[in-house]
Amino acid sequence: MLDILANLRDGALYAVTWTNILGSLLGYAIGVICGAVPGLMGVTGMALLLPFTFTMSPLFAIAAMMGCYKGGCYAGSITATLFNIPGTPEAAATVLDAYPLAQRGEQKRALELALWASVIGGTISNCLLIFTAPPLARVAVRIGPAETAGLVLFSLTAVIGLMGTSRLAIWKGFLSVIMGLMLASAGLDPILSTRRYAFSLTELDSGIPFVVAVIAMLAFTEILEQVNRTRELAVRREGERRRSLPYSWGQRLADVRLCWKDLIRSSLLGSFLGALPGIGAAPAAFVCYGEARRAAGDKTLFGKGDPRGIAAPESGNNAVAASSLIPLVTLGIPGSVAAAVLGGAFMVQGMIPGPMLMHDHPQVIYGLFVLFVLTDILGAFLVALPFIALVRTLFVNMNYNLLFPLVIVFCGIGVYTEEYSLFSIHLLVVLGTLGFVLTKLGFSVSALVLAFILGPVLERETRTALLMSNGSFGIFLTSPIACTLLVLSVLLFVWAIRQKIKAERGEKASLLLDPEE
Amino acid sequence: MLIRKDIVSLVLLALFAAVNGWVLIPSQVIAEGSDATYPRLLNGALVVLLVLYALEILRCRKAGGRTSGVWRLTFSELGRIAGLLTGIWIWGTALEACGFLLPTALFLLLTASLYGERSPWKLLVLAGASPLALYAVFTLLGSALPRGPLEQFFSLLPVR
Repeated sequence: MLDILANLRDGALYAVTWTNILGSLLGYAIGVICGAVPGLMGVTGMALLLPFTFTMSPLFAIAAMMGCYKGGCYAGSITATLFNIPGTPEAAATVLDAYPLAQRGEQKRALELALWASVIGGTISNCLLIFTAPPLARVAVRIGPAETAGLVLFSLTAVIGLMGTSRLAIWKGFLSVIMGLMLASAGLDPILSTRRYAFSLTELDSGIPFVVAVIAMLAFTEILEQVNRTRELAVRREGERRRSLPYSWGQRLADVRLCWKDLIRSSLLGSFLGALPGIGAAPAAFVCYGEARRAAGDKTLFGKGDPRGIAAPESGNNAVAASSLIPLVTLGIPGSVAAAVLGGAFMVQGMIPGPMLMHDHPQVIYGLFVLFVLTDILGAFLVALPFIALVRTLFVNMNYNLLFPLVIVFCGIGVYTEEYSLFSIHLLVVLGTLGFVLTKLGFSVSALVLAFILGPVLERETRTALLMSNGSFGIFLTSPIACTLLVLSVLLFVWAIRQKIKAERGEKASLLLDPEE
Repeated sequence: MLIRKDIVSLVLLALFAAVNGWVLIPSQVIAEGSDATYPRLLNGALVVLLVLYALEILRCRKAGGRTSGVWRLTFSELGRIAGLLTGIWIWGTALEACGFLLPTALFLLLTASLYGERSPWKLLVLAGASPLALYAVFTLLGSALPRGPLEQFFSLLPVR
C-alpha cells in the first residue's frame, strides 16, 4: 500500500504539468464531441486521434486518448437525453429514463445527472485501477502462455455470450470472432517468421496494420452506414425544440439523496464488469440499470424519467472505462476495444502493455493514473458543463453533410500517416467495405475487431504453450488457471445459450398473450 | 433489393471457407513455407460454425422464431455507397500524383454533394478551408502529408 502511495506521489510530480492536463482535456473535448455526434463514438475519436500521437510525448498522447474515451463515454448520453438517439452504444440504457425526463422539460437535470454520475463512476473506477493493478501485475508476472491463452479465449467467449438477444446472434458472434482471428493471421507467422496471406504484397508482410483495421472497422464503417441516414438525423433533430426547466440546488441535493446508493453500487459493479476482459461498457450499463430497478422500492417511475435510471447506467458505463485497463496494464490483454486502441498507443510510445509495464515505466503509469482522476473531474467542470450549455444550439444546427466527408478525410490521413503509405488508404476502403457489409448482415464488428487484436496473442501463446509441452494439449488441463478459464468459457457459453432460449420463450409467450404487439 | 441476411451470410462465408481451404491455404500459406496448422484450424472452426449456424437457421424457421431479417438496399443507396468508395479509392491514388491539397478539396466537394449538401457557399468553404487547415495542423505536428505542386508552392513561402 505504502509503495503504491509513494509511486503515486512520484507519478503526480512527474505527470501533472499544464501541458499534460491540457492534453487530457483536449482529448476529453474531442471525446465529448465524438460521443455526442450519433454515428461517431469515443473509440472512433481515439482511433482518429491515434496517428496524431506518433510525435507526442507518451504522457500527453495516452492522457489525450484516455480523455477522449472518457469524454465519449459520458457524451453518448447527450443525444440520448435530447433526441432519444444514443450517441454511443453505452448510452442505450440511459435513453430509457433520460429522454422521458427531458420530455418533461427537465433536460438540464437529466444532462447534469448523467454528467455527475459519470464523474462518480469514473473516479471510483480510477481508484480501483490504482489500488488493484499493482498487486495484480505482480501476480501476472508468474502467468505462463497456457494461462494467457485461456484468458484470451475466455474474454472472446464473454464478448460472444453477451451479444444480441437471440441464439442466432451468438452464432454470428462466433463467426465474427473467427473472421477477426483470420484477418489477424495475415502477415508473418509469429513463430517461423514466414509469410501468410500476403498476396505478394510487401505492404502486407507485417500483417494488416492495427491502426488501419481499427479506423476502417470502427470509424469508416460507421460513416458508410450514415451515408443514407443524414436526412433522417436532421428530421429528428428538427422536432426537438422544447422549453427547458431550471435545475435548482435543492433538486440537486434531493437527487443525491435519492441516487447515492445506486451510484456507488453501479460504480462498483461497472468496475468489476469492466475488469473482466471482453464485457465492455454497453452490457455493463444495462446490468447496472437492471440492478437499480431491482433494488428500487418504487419501480413505477422507471422508464418514465426516474433519476436512478440515469444515474445507474451512466456511473456503470463510465466505471468500465478505467477498470477495462486493469487486464491491459497487468496482463497485456485489452479488456475492451477502447483498451485495445489505448494498448496501440502504448506500443506506439515504445511501452509494451503487460505485467512488466508497471515495473519498467512506473513514473509514466502512475502519472497516467493521476491524470485519469484529474481528467474526470476537470473534464466535467471545464469541458462537459460548458458543452451542455451550448449543446442544444450546436446540435440543432449541426450539418452532417459537411461533417461526415471531413471524418472520411480524417480516416484517410489517419491511416496514411501511420506508415506514410497510400496502400493504407486502399486497405481502408477494402476493410471498411468488409466491415459495412458484415454490419449490414448482422455480424458484430466490435467482436471482430477484438478478435483481430487478441488473435496474435492467442496464436503466439497457444503455440508457445504447445512447444513447451512438446505438442501436448494436456498443458491446458494441467495448469489450474488455464483449466479453470477453459471450463468457465464453456460454462459461459452454455449459460448464454440458455439465457437466449429463455428470452425467446418469454417473447413468444408475451406475443401469445398480446397478439397485437 | 431485399437481401436475406442469414442465407447471404451463410452462402458468402461457405464460399470463402471453400476458397480459403482449397486455394488460399495451399497458395498463400503452404507455398510460402509457413505452417498451415493454425490457418487450417481456423478454417475448420469456420466450417463447423457454419454448419451449426445453418442448423440454427433451420430450427428458427421451423419454429417460426426470429431470424436476422432482411437488408433492404435500394439502388440509389447502393449507388451512393459505391460512389463514395470509388471516390475514396481515386482520392487515395490521386494523393500520390497531385499531393494532398488539390485532391482533398475535390474529394470534399464531391462527397459533401453526395451526402446531400446543396449550398455552394458551404461546399466552397469546406473544400477550400479544411484541406488547408488540416495541412497546416499536420505540418505543425511534424507529420508529412503527400506533396504535390501546390504544397511545393506553399513550401517556397517565407512563412512556415
